[in-house]
Amino acid sequence: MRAISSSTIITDPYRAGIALGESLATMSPEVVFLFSSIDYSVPELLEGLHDALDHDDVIVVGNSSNGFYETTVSSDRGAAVLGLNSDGQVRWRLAHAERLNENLHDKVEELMAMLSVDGETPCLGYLVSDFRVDASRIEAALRESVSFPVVGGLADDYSMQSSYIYVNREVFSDALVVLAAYGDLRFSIRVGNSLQAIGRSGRIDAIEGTQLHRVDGLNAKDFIERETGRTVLQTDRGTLSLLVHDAEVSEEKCLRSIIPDLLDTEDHLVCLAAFPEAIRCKCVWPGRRIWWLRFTPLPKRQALVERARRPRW
Amino acid sequence: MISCSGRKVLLGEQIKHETSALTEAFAPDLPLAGFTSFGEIAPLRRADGYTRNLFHNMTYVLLVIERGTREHALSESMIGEPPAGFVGGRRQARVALRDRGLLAADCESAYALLPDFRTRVEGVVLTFGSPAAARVGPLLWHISLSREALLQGGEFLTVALEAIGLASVADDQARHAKHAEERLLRSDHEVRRRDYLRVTEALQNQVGLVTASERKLSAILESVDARIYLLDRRGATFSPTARRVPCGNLKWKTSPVLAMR
Repeated sequence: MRAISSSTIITDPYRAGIALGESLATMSPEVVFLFSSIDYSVPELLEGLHDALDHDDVIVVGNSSNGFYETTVSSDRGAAVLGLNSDGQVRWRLAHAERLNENLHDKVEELMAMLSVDGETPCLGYLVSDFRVDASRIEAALRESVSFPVVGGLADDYSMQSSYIYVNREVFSDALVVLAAYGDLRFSIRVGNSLQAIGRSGRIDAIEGTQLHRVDGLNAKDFIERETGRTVLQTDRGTLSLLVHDAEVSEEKCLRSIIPDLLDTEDHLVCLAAFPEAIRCKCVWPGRRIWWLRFTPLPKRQALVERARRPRW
Repeated sequence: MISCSGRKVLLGEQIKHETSALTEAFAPDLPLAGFTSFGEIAPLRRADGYTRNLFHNMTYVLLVIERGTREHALSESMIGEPPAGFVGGRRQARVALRDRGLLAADCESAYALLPDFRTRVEGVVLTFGSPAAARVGPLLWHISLSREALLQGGEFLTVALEAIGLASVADDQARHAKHAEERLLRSDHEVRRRDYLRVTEALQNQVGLVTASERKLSAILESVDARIYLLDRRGATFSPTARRVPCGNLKWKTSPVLAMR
């Protein structure tokens, strides 16, 4: 697998696209991941990228969001690309669904079925969507209808309104796109957050969609106040999260952040996505060194980068 | 890599760690790209593979693919070498915005290529005529030269386009700086003010409760002080208000020490 990444802060969208495309042109990428800030006129960014790549078969997948990362760059504005070329060892297939608010579950199932045609299941999926539906609905659909690892995220612009999804030359909103990989792809997935769980675990008594009402017999705000010793603040946006876990499936844990802008409405808390009732949650708090994520490459024999294999669910 | 925007808020100036942790661990020129997200999707690793796909918040998701050779890194300036000649092309917008030379019958036909030609095209519009120069866009000049001067104008074009290239970079940087400033100014000022008020109110309530408790406790103490009896080491009772005794003589056990009648 050959890879090239590059980034630009050129403000003109077409020029930015050209610059990114030219940086990848030498490798003739099979797939290009494109990440841009939300202030670009995205059709022109894509047009510039494709014009510079000058290769109709290239697959472009990506999104606009509140910022991007590249090898040495973390920026609020600009764009980055990552081009991959497996020299034909990996086959790629792209599928997307729009208007997710209508029959999301069915659409995700159909999309995944499209990616598993001819009896071949992808070894890995990359999924990206803009944040216009409750993400837990996407998660639920993935859990039920997907039998391969999927990595990705939901694009963010803080207002959840102006991020877009890139699919080749097109731009979509309220959409979900999956890039599926087949063949000899060696990969490894890591998930981390370096947050500390504090306090006691509480049973979730009442939740309605993304609205968390009661935990451990208390309203959600009081539960957090009891366990953290402080009142919930609006500036806890992204800081205050709940570790959601199910005692019966101990390996599966995830965090749900609180949306603070809506805190003043009622006693309940609004989370960024729903989660099932009858499981438990625990407050998490950033330590003094939230950034203290460490990555240690293992020797090849220990297969940090391992051959894709079908996971056991 | 996909990193939650909540991490970005908390990390602030430390945000570079999101990528430097990787480049330090793997290679300084590790090909890498990713975005700031509002939610992350990935399975968790376990001994025999991965869990089901999960949706996360406040999380950092890393997908590592077998590494290849990094061939080229950063994009370069959009302004390249001076034009060696005039270039046509099937994509006229591209020609106007990117390529090095454009042959146009007149300025209006050049402007017609893009609705916002004057504001987006960077360079020099050269025409024959009496020597004159006019700025027609933020980084676009219309320069009129005599035919003789134009034929000798290669060096002039080199210098002019280099200057415009530098100006373009400076313009981009200025826009980024302005954006960052705007972001800083609007960043949560009102939210922080409200939080401050909320914390202040909570503290005032706490102080009020403590004060009320203190008053109540004082009242209780005043009313019962005379009725509190302590036991000395021999087990005899006495009232501390009636007769002061050294503390060393008291038996400091919780239940028998304080007896309220």
